[in-house]
Amino acid sequence: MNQYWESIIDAAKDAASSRHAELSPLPMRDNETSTAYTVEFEGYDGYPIFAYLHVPRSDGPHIPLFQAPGYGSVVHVPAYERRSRYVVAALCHRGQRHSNSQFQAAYPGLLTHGLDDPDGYIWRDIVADCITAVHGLMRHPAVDTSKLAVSGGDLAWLTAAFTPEVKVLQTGGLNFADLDNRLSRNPDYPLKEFNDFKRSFPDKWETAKSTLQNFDPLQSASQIKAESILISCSASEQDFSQQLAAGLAGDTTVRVNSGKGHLDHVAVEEWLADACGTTPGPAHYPRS
Amino acid sequence: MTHHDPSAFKTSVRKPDDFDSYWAETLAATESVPLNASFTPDTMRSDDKIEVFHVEYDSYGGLRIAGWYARPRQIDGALPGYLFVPGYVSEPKMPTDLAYAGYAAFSAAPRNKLRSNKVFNPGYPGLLVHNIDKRTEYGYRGFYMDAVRARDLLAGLDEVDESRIGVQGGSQGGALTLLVSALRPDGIACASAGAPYLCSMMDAASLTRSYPYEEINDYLRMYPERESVARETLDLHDIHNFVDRITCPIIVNIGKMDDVCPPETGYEVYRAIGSSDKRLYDYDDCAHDAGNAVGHDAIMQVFMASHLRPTPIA
Repeated sequence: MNQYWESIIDAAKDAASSRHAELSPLPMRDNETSTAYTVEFEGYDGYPIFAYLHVPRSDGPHIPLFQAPGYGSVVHVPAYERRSRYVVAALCHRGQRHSNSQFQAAYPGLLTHGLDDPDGYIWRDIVADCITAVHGLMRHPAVDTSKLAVSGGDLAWLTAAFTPEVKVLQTGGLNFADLDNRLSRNPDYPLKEFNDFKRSFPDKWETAKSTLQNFDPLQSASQIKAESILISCSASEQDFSQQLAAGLAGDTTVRVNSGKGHLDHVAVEEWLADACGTTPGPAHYPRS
Repeated sequence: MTHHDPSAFKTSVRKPDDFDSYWAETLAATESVPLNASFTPDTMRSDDKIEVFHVEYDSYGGLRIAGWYARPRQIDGALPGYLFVPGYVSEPKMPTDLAYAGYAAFSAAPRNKLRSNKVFNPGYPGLLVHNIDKRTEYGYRGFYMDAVRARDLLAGLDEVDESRIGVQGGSQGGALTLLVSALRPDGIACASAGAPYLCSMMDAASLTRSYPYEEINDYLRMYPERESVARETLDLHDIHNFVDRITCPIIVNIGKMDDVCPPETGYEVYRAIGSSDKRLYDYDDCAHDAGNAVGHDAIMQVFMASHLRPTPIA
């Protein structure tokens, strides 16, 4: 781990045990297979953070699954099919709804917020929120600490890189991957935010590029020892995905999605369940 | 294994007797509020070929609503207007790609979206069941008007050809596309609705366990005694009840395994659309993506361009 990350990751891990956290029932989101809670906790710097937590009603211990947040203001309540199989934590990082009492993220805007200052780049703090959350999840009495799973995009990747306890990683859609190449192809949002920044602040772009290297998944790939699936949304991403996969330290599957959402979803959930040693939960639709 | 044929489904939605008068009153109340639009240049999202503005306007109940407006810098004659309406949880897109395609493009952020949530902010989950037990105070009443108002704003711009305005969106955006086309039948030239949400809502909640419809299941588990009033509220706001008014050319796309907006409700709303110029694209093995990644996105773009005739920026 390089100097950019070392102190903040240590502080984020420590926050999971030293900072205030409160678990409260959320009966509105209970269902027949799981019990719902809200978790309100402090990030490494005291920032107030929110997460959903769902615990299967069946006897445990259960596999802990950390759902790293995606790029957007809203974090979904975890899916029905996952709630019966895993202790699922869905984090709302700072700036997202429920964690926006002090900072409200803008879309577009969040991807370049503070990018002109390496220490002030918001994504460094957001990664720290994930680290605190995943260590908090591991402290829950219902979890099997030997089987930590993580799903999501860049934040899942970086969480796995900084958390050796992660055994299973389901990831794809990495915004920070292959940036030079992708930005040269005039991408749409959210990646276009970087080109907007570059055009608006050309004198700050070199500093920004240097900061962004810390988020490049290639830089952290060798730290990930989890069994992984790396999902590409198109065949054009496949070469880079193979390059990333080659850098990972654990067994890795590269999957190119078909573009047919149902088939892709089923395949990925089956992979996750298999890697975690369980079976997929009941389908959302059609209802059985 | 049970044969799964979502096209055979019949909706349980009923049109209330006061449906037409309720929406006529709601439109009149909305139109009584001056638009009071403001346009603030967004230099960071603009470039040498297109201009972007942060827009605000007043809507139903006097709420201030936001949106993004993007247009080519070089305007030779009137531009076709393109209204993009957003999904349930996603933030409205920044429509710079549409400006490059030659449109005067408006991307609406109805109440509860970021930048439009200072007064009304039930959140997500929350919006779908907000005031569901208060028939005429349901959250979507004003939300719908914010979308209609966005079309009116676009139509009123000097550079926009009012006879060439199209509307497009997916999921909740699909629902709002149907709504705006229905409530402004003379003001929409073409429409593309993907995986439409808010159609046969009570049925949808019984067909899936995915959010957002799961919000209804959650609510009724907590308050089972309110099922009857919830159904009355939803019937009064169900998109299914609007679409017989649609007259413009329209395409609808659905995924035949969509867990978010079950295809049963998509088939039914398509059948109820009043326009004779309509086409349904139903995609096997697709879910809420509704075929966008297997060719439908291109179909949609060609359809919109064929009716609106934009001149793309070279």
